[in-house]
Amino acid sequence: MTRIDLDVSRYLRLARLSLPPERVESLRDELGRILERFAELRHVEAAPSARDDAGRGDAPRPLSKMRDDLVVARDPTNPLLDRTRRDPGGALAVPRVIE
Amino acid sequence: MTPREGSARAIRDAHAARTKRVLDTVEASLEAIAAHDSRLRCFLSVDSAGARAHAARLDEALDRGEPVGPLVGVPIALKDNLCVAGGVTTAGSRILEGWCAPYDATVVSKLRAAGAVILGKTNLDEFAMGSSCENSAFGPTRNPWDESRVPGGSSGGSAAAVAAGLATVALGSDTGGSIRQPAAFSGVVGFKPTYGRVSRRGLIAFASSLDQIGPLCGSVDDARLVDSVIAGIDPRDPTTREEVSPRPRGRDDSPLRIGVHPDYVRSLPEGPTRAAIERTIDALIDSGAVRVDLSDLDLLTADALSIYYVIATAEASSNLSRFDGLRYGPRVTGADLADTYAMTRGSLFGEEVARRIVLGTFALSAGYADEWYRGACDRRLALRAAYRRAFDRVDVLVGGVTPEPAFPIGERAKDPLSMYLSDTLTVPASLAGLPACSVPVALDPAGLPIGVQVIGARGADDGVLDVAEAIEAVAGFPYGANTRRGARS
Repeated sequence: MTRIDLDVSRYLRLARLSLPPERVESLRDELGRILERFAELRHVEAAPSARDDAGRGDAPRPLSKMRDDLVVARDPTNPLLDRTRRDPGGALAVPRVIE
Repeated sequence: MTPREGSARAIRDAHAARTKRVLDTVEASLEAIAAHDSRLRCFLSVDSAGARAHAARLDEALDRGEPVGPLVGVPIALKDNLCVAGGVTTAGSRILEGWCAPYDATVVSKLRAAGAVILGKTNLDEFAMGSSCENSAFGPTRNPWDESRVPGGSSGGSAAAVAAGLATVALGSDTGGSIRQPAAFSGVVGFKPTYGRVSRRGLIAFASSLDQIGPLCGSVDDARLVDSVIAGIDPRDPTTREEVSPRPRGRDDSPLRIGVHPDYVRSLPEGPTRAAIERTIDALIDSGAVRVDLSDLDLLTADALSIYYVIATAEASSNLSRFDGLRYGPRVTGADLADTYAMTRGSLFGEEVARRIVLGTFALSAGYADEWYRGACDRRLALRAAYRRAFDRVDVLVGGVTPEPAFPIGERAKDPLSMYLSDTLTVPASLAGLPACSVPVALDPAGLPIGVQVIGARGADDGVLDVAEAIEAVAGFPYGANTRRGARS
């Protein structure tokens, strides 16, 4: 089982959310349990990747604050998704990765 | 075919034939709302004056013999995440309390043009995030079959309004089961069309690659009628598309192929729900369909829940970033601009919304996006491929909607994980963009409705409704029984 110990304050800051301290604590516990369960469900875990200086996941990409490699659903057999890939503003374009 | 009494089709036929006045129909709905909604709390807002005025205009048009639309005078309720011009649209959230939408959602425009009369806006889990309607900032809706239980969610207000006979039909939105699950819990038909069949313009976005608008009705025929009005290309929603797959067999020489997968039937706990699903499948086989066992296929059902919650929360964290206290709704003023953003969002978003925003922010953040978000996107494609393989072999999949009937209010409110698990059987069709319909088939020993789910290939919406209609016929779930229940006081 993957033990997920979230730095909740970091994500609250990124998400522009201000919560009372007791709620931050309970959120840390709730999200940890949810992510553990999701990891148990075997799919989203990938091989360990390079760590950043703080030991968190991948090293940040160097050039932009918002990653410029817009992620889109990939399915060349699906004309809708294929069209979306050609049109970065298409509504199927998924959110950019937050630095 | 003679439409059932009380159905949308029967009501519009009566209006068109002038055997019934639209105003009388609308008054009956408003009276039912006045009598029962203070208890059930299906509606967040009721536009009595607007509904009466529209009804009067339709009566005048009918009296003059003018052409009318296919839903003329049908009372309809709208989930409160659909924009209605000039009307308050809250999405069940304090952060949008009092906010008036500047335009009609495309589906609302289409319904108006078809002659439907909008009664009001129904309750929902805040921003459609939930499976019980308990996450609404304005209090929970009660299930008309047992008022101590939830109606399901997130379109719980819409489902309960139809079940209680307060509205003839309602619109909901389905991101991971939010039409089908409340339909099953409330004993009504709920239809999630193929992703892209219905415009999402004017739907307050939760997860844009998953959200889809669809009807909740008393019968499959009514779902088909409403679908025929709201479906179609919308130039203002680039994800809409015409996609039509051949109707399933069964109407010509070749028998209908019913796919049965253990994830949707055998893996459910033994009990009334599983028994009702098995009986429904047996009844279809007795009617001439062929059962195709798909147990050799891995439909990635165990993975689907986590794929869904990673992708949906990631998209939600982006979509909901627009609600900052400056552009929409109320504001909590902080020491500076950043503080105002954080105070407004922290104070006015509910617990579940905040939980999902943080989860999505985590899944998209540098250091974890590859592992979580991109991994989930890759697995989503694998899941779609698995369903494509299934539909190479069968016309439809038939199975459960939920592992069990409606649960008591409060039972899972403090355990988000157990609430998420109730979406296990509905999220796969959402991830794959497939059409799916929940049909009530039976009552459990406690008198709670049980639904069966029909899932089809992309674009096979008409075929899914055909099979749902066949299930409705063999199950004989009494149309109107729900309405009688709701009318009890």
